[in-house]
Amino acid sequence: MKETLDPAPLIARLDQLRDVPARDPQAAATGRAAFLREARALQEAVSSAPTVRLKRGFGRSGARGFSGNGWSSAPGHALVFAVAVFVLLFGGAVATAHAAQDSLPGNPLYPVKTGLERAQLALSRDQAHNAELHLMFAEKRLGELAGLVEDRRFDQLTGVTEAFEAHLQSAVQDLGSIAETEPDEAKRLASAVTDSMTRFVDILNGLTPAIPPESQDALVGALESSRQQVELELVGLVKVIDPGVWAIVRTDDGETLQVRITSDTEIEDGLALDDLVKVKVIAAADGSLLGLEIERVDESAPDGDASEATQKLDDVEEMNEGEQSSPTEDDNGEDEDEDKIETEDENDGAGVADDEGHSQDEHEYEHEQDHDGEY
Amino acid sequence: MTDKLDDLALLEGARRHEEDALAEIYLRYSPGLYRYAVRLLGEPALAEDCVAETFSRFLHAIRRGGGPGRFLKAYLYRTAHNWIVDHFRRSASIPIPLDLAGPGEGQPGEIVKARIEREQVRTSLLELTPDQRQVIVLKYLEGFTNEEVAATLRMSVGAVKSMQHRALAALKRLMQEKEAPE
Repeated sequence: MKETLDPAPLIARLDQLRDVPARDPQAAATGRAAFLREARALQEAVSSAPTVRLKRGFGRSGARGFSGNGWSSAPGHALVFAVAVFVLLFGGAVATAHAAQDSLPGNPLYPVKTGLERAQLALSRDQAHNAELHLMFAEKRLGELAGLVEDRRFDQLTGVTEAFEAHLQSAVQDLGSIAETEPDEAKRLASAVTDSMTRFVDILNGLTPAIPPESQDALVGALESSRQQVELELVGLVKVIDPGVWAIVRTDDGETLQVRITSDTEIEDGLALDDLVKVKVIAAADGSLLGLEIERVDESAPDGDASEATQKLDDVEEMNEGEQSSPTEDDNGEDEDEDKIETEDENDGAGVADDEGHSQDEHEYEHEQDHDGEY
Repeated sequence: MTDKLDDLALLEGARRHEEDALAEIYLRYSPGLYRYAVRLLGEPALAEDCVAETFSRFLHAIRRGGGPGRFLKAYLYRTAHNWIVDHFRRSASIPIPLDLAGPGEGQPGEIVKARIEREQVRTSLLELTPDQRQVIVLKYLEGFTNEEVAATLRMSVGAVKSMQHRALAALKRLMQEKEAPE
């Protein structure tokens, strides 16, 4: 019962649209010049793009990007995770894993990349390593942000910035846990975290002008996270009180730490030399410590910090050197990591732009095509 | 065939960041892309934006090692098409267009009638699904072969023919609705 269709009259009607206004030669010349200018700028940026800068420090990706179009749906998370673990353990698809390292959200290999990351976290040997991994993955997300900005895929920034923030938060949380058991390691890591954050702020600030105002909100959270400072707490004896700096001998290991004092540092009244104190500090990128709060530890408390701390200090002094604090055995936190990285995988699904910048959902197409099915 | 070979050579040059190759690609395809965009968007300035964004995406894609494999022309039209689809989605309504060039001679009454008819065709075209619209425009206005349309839409030639038939049928229905007396 199909209606026969004579296309000739329709094609004749369509001919009415054949003529269009002549292109403004000035606009055409401007467009051509802009295109070539952008090509030159991109070529010059090849060796100095943000993604390249990010490869120093914790970043270690060196693979070429993969940007073909293929799968439209992300495989199940569990499967990706299992494949990632397999690859990690047995090195089977090394090339694939390597190629995945530079993939961006929306790329078929992106789930492999994030799956590998989850596998690395699951196999992490301790919390210090966990924190380093989170920091490294935050840096990767930052590289992806730069890639998305470069590709003008601004609608995808939010998912990546959320993942970036989650990694930073996790790194800082791990750092907090380590501080209790491994103060030296925590100090080293704190320095690394603050160093990274300082660079992150620079990079995010550098990206912002290239983003349209309506998409800049996506970066605000990332910038705030990067600006957060790493707070640590230490307990020790006051050995030097100078206007700009106090020296504290830490009870854990007997190390003398210089704590910078500013007008913002809150210092409990009446503190004197040899008092046992708890100090809240910010670890700066250069390793220096900025004092936030200094308060006396109540030495009369039977089971409080004081008795424990002074005992530790006595031990340290007696043994001169060599006694180490016990290593952490904590290897949990996996569930928390799963939740945080989940946000990245959610970003792989609908609404992602492909290589031609198309963000249309395939289902939408199907639906529209069904609309006129009577012919 | 020659064009295709040339396109491949141009693509290779573009991937090596050769300015001559990039300039030639722009020269070869930007006029057609502009016509294509202005027909669908109705605004020359918007069409220029579309062309600029299409070539920019192309640059960024090849820089990352992506971009067209063999079909440069199809890739560029597909990219422009996607930009236009996204533009319509963002603006939430089909723009009422401008006075495109067309018959400008004759009696004033005839000119007005021709313009009204032209707008009926254009607004009907804009009401098609994106793929249907692209098949019609590429095939009947840009003069693409079925093979070129297939490469642009990433479909088989058979699927293109089938969609072409459905698109013409839908277009006919839409135009009849517009012409029907209230």
